[in-house]
Amino acid sequence: MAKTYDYLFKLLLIGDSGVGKTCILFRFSEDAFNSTFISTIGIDFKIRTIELDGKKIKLQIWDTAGQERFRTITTAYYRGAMGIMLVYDITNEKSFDNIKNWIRNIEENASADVEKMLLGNKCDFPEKRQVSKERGEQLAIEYGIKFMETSAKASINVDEAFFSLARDIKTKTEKKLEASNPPKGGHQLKSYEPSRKQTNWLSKCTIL
Amino acid sequence: MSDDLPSTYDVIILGTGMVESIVAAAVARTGKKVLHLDPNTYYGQLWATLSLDSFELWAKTGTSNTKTLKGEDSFKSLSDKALKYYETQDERDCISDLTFNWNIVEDIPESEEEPKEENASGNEYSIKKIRDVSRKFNIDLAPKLLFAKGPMVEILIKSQVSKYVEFLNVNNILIYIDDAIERVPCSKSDVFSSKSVNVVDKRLLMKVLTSIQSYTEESPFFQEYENKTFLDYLKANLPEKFANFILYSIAAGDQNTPCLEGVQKAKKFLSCLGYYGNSPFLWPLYGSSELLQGFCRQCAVFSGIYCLNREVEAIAVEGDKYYGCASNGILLQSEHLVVSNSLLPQQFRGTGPSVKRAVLITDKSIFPEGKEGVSLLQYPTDDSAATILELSGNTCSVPKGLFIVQIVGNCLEEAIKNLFSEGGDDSKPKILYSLRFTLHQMECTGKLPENIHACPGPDFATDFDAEIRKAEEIFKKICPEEEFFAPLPPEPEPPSDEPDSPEEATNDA
Repeated sequence: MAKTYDYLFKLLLIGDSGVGKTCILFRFSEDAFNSTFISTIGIDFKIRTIELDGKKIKLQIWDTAGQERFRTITTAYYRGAMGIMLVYDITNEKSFDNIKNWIRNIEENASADVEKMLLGNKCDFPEKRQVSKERGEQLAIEYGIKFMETSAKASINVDEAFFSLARDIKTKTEKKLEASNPPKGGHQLKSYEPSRKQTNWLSKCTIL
Repeated sequence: MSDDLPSTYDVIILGTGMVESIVAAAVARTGKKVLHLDPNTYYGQLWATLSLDSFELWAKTGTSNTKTLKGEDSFKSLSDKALKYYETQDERDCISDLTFNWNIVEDIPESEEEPKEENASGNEYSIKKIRDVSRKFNIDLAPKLLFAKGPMVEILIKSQVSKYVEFLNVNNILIYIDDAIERVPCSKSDVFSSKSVNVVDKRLLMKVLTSIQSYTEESPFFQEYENKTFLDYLKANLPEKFANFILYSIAAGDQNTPCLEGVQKAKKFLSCLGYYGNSPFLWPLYGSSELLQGFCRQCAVFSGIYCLNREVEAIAVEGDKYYGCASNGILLQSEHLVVSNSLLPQQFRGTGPSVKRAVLITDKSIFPEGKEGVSLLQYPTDDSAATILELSGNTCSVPKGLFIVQIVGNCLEEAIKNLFSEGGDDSKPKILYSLRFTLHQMECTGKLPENIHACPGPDFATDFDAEIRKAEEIFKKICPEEEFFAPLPPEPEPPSDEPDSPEEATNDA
């Protein structure tokens, strides 16, 4: 099968419970919003293929699966991640304060050169705002990362944020490719019954 | 922080070992409400994979059981019901005789410039230098391999947990024989192309390999060896050296392995060749704990709640049925409890068999002429065998240029003495760090209420076959009507994933 994309980027969403990570993911991948997502099951990752400078980029965006709730995100979650969206809720001071803990968590677990971006979500809710835009900007500057305020509900800046992160990763990847070190890697398990491939979706276990 | 844990579940799982984690994913997929707890801050208990810092901390905490029993009365206030409380134990009881030491200098003075990182003579390493890259280490407490066609691989694919983990071949299958390390010709093509085997021996080896591969219960060929050892059979058909190759490396047996058992094990090894390259084994990048974390993630995706660093102090029993778990001053209730043997209350826990284990950090491969990656070396001695697993930099378990060596077997001191050097002998890999301990298996000895399901800790086998069997057995007790990892309905692909949807691409551009 011909490859239908030029790059595959694994992105993560990180931040406190309830800041709207899953909603951002749905807004970006399906252009949908539903405030009851939290209780739905089976959200592992979502995929959207975008185009940047004529290159097809497949974005595989992973949700925390609720494991952020008691800070029990598996170290495996961070493996191979190239970009991380750090999300807080502008109506929740605590979620903003916790960003520094999440940054520490990322430093401990993710690869050192992972691209990061800070998002202040729920900006459609100005009357309940607890964190000013300036503080968000200030924190982003401190960590040397980009910042945007978003609203998954009102569809503000969600696409822009992912495109911006994807662009930064693309630039970095292409720079690395020029320096030409062929990537190492293991293989993914494939079903060893190729005859079932057409009919049985089971054999689709290698989505990558 | 944990006060907002809901108080009732279908299944509470205590401990994030391999069996517990597989059960967690399996039952969550059927829609059951799962709470998964672990007293440690990391996943995996005695199956964990740790960075060097965490590993050193784990070693320092050593065998000290920090558990202080509170007495049953301290739980009485949790419920009005007439409950009997059994206090849980500490997994540290599974470890004894733990020693560790660094065999290099603490630090190298700044003045000396060391531009040539690649130089392999161990003198340039210091403890500080290695600790500085602590995160590049992923050291397994219980490393195990996957048979390419074994039950673990089957379940990974069936469950789709395989998408969370990447693998490498175990690309050097080795044996220590006649005071040297030799590559074992595994497949018939290996035998055929081997330069170290002469034509006559090639024919004999081919014949034996073919007989083993075509073995069925009725094979007349092996019947005369029914009450004899596998070694008897091999020696009758092969020169001693090749008999040892097959006995130790292919059948992972020893002198006492009965013939039929040896044949079955060898057949399994041979039947796993060719699926993922010319090796029957796979090794997960970043270590074994990636597998159990993959199962835990899947449980979480199916709404399982995870809470590490959370102890269950006691298990509450009402009459002859398990009722709930006392944790942090609240009573968490569930229909079933799945619990690691290592945490079982003393009334139900006994000590089983034990084995010696060692973990080394070295500066050179035991088999430098082999391919970089994962090496499996069998080290037979007169009365037993040690299994040695060596990981190099491309496994993501150790920084480039260094090696992690995992040794299991009661004769490991002899293997260490012959294969490694503590300094001085440059021809052998130098031990920079070593840790040794005895691992005891805990067993469930008492009669547990039938809605408590106990899970074994790491055993001494190289594969995960027993763990999968046990997880399925427990799953069947909790969900008797359900298929173990029944396939999920296909998820509708989002339109943006369609490769040829031009309007999507233009919209995004």
